Amino acid sequence: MTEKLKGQQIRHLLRRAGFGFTPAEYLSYRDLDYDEAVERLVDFETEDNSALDALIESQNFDFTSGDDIKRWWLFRMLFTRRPLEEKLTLFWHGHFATSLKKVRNPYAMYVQNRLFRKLCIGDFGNLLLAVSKDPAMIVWLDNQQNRKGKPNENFAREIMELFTLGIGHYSEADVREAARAFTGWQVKNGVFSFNKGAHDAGKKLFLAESGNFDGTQVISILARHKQTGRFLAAKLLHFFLGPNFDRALLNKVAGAYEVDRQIRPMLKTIFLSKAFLSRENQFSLVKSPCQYVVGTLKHLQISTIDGDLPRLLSAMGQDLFAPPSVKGWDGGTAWLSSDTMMARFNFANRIIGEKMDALKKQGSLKDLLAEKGIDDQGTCVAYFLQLLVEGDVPPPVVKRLEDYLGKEPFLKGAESKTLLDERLRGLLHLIMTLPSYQLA
Amino acid sequence: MNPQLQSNLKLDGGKTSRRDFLALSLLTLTGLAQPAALADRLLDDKSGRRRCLVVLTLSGGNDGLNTVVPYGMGRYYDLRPKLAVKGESVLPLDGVVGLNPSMSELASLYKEGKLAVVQGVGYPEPNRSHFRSIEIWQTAQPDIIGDTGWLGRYLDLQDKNDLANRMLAAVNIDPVLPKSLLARKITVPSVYDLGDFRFKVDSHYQNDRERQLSCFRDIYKDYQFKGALAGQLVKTGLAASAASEKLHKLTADAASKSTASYPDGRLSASLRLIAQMVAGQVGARVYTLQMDGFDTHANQSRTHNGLLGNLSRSLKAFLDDLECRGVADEVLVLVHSEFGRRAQENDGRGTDHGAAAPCFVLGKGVKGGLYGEHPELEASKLVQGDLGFKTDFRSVYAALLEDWLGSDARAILGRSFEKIPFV
Repeated sequence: MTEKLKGQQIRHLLRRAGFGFTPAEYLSYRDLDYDEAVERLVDFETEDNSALDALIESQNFDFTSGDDIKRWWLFRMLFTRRPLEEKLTLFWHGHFATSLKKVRNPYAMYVQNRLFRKLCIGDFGNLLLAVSKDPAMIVWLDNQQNRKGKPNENFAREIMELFTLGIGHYSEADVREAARAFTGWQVKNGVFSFNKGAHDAGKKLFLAESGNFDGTQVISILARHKQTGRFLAAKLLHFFLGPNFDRALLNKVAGAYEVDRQIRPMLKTIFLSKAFLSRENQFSLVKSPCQYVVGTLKHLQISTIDGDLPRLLSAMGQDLFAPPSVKGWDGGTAWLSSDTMMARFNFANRIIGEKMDALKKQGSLKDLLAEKGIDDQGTCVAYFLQLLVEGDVPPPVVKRLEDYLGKEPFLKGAESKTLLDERLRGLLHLIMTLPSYQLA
Repeated sequence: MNPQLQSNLKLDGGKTSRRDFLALSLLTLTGLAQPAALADRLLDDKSGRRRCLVVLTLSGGNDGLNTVVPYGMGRYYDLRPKLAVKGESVLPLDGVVGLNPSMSELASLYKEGKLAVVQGVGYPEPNRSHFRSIEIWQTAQPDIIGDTGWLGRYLDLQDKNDLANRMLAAVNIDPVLPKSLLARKITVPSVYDLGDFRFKVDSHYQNDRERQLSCFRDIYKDYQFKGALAGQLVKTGLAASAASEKLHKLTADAASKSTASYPDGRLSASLRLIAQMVAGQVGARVYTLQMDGFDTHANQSRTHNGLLGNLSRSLKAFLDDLECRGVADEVLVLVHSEFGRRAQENDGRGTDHGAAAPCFVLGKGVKGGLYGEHPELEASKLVQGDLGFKTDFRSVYAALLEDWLGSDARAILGRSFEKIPFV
């Protein structure tokens, strides 16, 4: 395999298993074999993350503030040495979508987020059980009000429709029976508490099994269910690989789940599959707003986070800790509306405007070009296109961007310094608005 | 309904090839059509009137029983021991049903003949999943997983000249495009906050804006690249840049021309923006928006009454605003939800997912009144504890499509439905 091809594969992997990369991060993966890179990303527990912990310590986040927990998480995405851990945490946040808008308790959301991170890659049964007892989830899906005699079906329905089996694999009767099993699972003084008096200990008939089930047993039945493996496999494939996969790969990923319900082997199967590296699957996913934002900051090595970054993400359609519904974010083309695309363009504009001003370390764009020995329009456009979209644009675009830079003597003469700065910022802005830049 | 308009729409809609249409709508979107003549051309519309439909979705499943309260049915009070609205506080529509007391503005509109209440609206074999049920409402295809929306299919049927004369065929006031607006021939833009909906450039270099925007448009217009997402990215990007430029021009004038006072909140802001677009002659046939928070599984009363109060005040302000701007004749509003809620309240002072529920249709052009029957509440008449539907939601759509928008409901809905005569 050529170095060039391997480089492409590693960068693809870093985009999918994480949120993009800084030049330094890429260098630290570049010399690994592809399989070794997968292993390093997936077996992330061995990666020393103490620098991140120290950085977070220094920020004095207030975990009872909704804005602060959003900034805290963005900080993690940006500075972690375990990108897959954060990407999976985001996956589970979308899967077990819970929103501040109803929970109204940022600290509970923070606790839930830590739970996702801690259990993100191990036994799904453990994760499902922990989530079912999680205070934010109990409030979110009203299990607090689920009592013997008058069950509240909200949690019971969603645990099957959205968390495990998917629609069509259970009946309305299963919903009613499962709701009975979860009666009495409540929050008391901010932590899980089993209220025996509210629990219906009677016999239930659930998914063709019968017994005096409680919530733990229902969860065990659901986690062992073959359809759960298939449902999770399809969802992980869509999230990490994209829509182009065949039944054989789906079966293989689902098969990896069936062994002992671990998420880790499912991910290895996906990243090591031929389909993952195929040309058609590279740049085949619409970047989520988190990916767009965090990836941009990483690419351009911008290491400060604006206070209102959470608001900008929300304008792009991804308000962290506040997904639009119990179904989480649909992703894919659902990220694309004229309004959310405009929000991306305007984020890019802010980055190349205000943020570039703050980029003292990197010096001005002009210095950057001098350092790289770039002194004409063609080389300049090619350099930034390679940096931001791997050069993956139709040829007329290159020409049009060169025209945008203009015919004035490039990089020469002090009188055009302001003009040069204007055009270089404009160029970066335009590249970040390209259709190609919306894809990962 | 004007027969001329109908035949006009039917004729050309069928003949347009997809390629022609796309070229044409992109031409319009990218500003190559003549904006100066736009207002005049709209007045040439053979109906002589400019009509549009606003579809407001109450997201989460609105509790119909506590919205249009069957205070004359004794069973209601058995089913809702804690949540029932007391008979004496209901705002009566007739001797049996009345509006929730939080909705005094809607009660006034009802008296003025501007509000139609359609009772017991639903569909066969109700689905209690939020997502499937809203998908059924949005696609109007309960039996298949459809990939176009009922409003999208309406837009697809439009006369291509008519659409070309309109700045935007439809606008969604929300960050996420609902499935109802998925069309084959056009991409409907979404706008949430008009202030942010603008192609911005570095504040140091405002003079460069036109150069950047022109470069952006050139690139997007010819962007050829592989992959399934290419088309949608390009169309959405072009729609975004074109729509934003136009909306800013149009609404800049319209913004100051009304004295209507809206309550605070997102719904009001969205409705106000729609009023500005209608008055600014954006020419959209359809606007969609949603209001969240109706999934009231627990401690429902305070939340639900608050939502209904906000809904009622916002809608009243919207109609006042339209009146003030002289466009009240042009707009009809449909208010619906994906489903109603379980007849019997649950033990947490809330209600679970249900089935049939009432819809509202309001505006100056509506024949106000109570339509359809209220579902029976006797245990034997409930369907798995839920209200049985009395009116298929497609009967509501059929009336809006044919009698208001002058289109062909049968072509859009796949078969004929009895029309509810509220127009």
